[in-house]
Amino acid sequence: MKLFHIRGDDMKVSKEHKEQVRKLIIESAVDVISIRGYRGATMREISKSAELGASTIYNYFSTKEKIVIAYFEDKQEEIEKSIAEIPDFESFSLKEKIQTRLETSFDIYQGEREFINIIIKRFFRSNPLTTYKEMKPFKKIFVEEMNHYLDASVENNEIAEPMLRNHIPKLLWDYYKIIFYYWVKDKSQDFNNTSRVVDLSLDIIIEMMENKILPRALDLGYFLLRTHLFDNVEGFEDYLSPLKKMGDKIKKFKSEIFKDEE
Amino acid sequence: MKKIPTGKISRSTVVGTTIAKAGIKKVSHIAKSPFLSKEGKKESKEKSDEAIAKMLFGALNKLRGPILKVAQMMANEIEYIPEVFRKELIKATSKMPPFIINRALLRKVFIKELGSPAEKLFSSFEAEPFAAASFGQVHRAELEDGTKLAVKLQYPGLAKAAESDLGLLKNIAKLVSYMSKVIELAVDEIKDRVREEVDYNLEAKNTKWFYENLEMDDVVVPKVYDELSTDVVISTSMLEGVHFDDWLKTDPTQEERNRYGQIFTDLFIRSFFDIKTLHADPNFGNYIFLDNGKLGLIDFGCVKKFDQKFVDSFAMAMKGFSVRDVDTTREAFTMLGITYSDDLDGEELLDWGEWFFKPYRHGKYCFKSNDEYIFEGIQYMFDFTKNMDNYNSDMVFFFRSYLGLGRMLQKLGAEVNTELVFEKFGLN
Repeated sequence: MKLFHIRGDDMKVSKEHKEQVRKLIIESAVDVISIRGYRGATMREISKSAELGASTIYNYFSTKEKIVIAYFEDKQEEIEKSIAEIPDFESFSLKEKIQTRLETSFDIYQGEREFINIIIKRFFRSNPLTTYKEMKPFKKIFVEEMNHYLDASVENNEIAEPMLRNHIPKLLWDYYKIIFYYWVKDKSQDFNNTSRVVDLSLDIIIEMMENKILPRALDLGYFLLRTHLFDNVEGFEDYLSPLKKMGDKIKKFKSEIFKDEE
Repeated sequence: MKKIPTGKISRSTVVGTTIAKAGIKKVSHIAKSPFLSKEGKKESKEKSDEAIAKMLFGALNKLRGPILKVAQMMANEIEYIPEVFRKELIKATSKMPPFIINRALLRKVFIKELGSPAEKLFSSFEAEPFAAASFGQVHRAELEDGTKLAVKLQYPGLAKAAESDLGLLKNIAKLVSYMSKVIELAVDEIKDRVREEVDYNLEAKNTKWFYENLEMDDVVVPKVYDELSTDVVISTSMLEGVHFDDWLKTDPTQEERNRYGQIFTDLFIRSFFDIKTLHADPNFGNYIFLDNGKLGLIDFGCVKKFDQKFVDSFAMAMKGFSVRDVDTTREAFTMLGITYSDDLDGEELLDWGEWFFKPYRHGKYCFKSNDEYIFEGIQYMFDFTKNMDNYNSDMVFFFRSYLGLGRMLQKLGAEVNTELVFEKFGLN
């Protein structure tokens, strides 16, 4: 589809047209990457598929990676919009909110699962927990959303203020990534297996928050680590430096948590 | 926390171990048998059965999810399951958590199935279900024009899993030799029922068929809304009224009880003879006592069509029953495809026929003063199935409905006129 000709930095190109071209580039990138893989999809290939002049694409995106990020930004917007349209969303339970957030994202991404699979392989090396710096803004939005849900539930007396309150949204982000990865691989009809996993696992997560099992298990874990592991580690520092490093990390994590509870 | 076996292999292992244990028990029962008197043998058999049942169905405790749903259906809906088994099944399923379709899942199902969320499909939709279904739940909704609907949905993916788990129950069933036919039959029946319960296309088709063909002024069949129905969603007009137990709580007079009893009776007879199709799900929940005094019939998942030969053969059996004629009865049963091992004597057959014919002998029957009728029938059925070599599955459906009708009338304590049967059977 040829929308229009663009010559250099033509000032007449309206904002709306610009947005259309931007979308066209993203769509073409998704198509080309889905067919040729990430490596095989060149900028030239993408602009050809979008029927744009060879240099036009660079007016919009300097790299392939930026197009991919723009794709996820658009999807993120779509998810937010879709959730904002649910009339009684505020009356949903905490579980229903998180579950709807996940299901909505699967619904919105479902047409491009092959593309997403390629992206996960390329950027996360098939490990959903890999952190990748470009993910940060998405994480931030998700964590904010979760914070908002949690606050609302506490305010409505649906759940008691959970311990480790500030860590829960970040843990939910990791949970989301794992579930997302499961969904990408889910071959069941209508991704019903993913729905079932989410339905069942959220029950556990929310129960953990409510019952305070998680913080108690962590209390026990820290106690055992401190009294039985770190004491020994200090004596064998030279031999066990990797362990020591891990210990430091845990200590740092601990201090963050204690700071949290103050 | 108890570890829940997952995957087919580990699930089978749970069952396999149980099977091995049961095998040993059975051997010890057989080994003991030759030295026992007839009575002692019977008692020992029962004891061994109980022990086996405990072990077998105890295995279900280690499983979770859809198979429990299946076990629960078996316990609640199959009349001829021996009591020992039923007890174990109920125990295994008593703590089963309900499968809830919350608002997040409702949204997913509506979007996947009908293309939009509930708020765009209906002018109003209650997220809180007003009734439970086997693998789902039923919600109230309203259309723009004010039409009230009942919308039934399935928990996504659950039914499929339940169906594939049925093989496990069948393996369990194979073990209990003296009851194996009955249990196997029950498992097959449940298998069919699960399929029926989850096939909303079929249910919509059946409902529409009844809507068009059942011509009874006092019975109301809901209207199906095709554009709001799919494989796993079915939308019908709402029948406003109360269920059986709630109706009884209104303390109805004997006349009212008799009137409804008569509707139930006529519905059964007309369904069998006129349209040769029975609503074969005897669940009390499938009847609604409507605000306008009529009877509402819902849930057409299980519908059985009979051929003319079956109806004719059954009429012949009834003739045999009515005059206690062994040869006619036997011939009718052969035509129905039911054969018995040699040790079933003709008298036993006629006794059973006598029981069956009781409500029709005098053209009138009071279920209030004969409140043992169904209990007796189940005993007869039970003895009967034990000696059976070959069973006609149509009979299973017929008796399920027949016993269902009996239970309904017994619960109503109604006196009903049964002369319609004579007319239909040509017995006069």
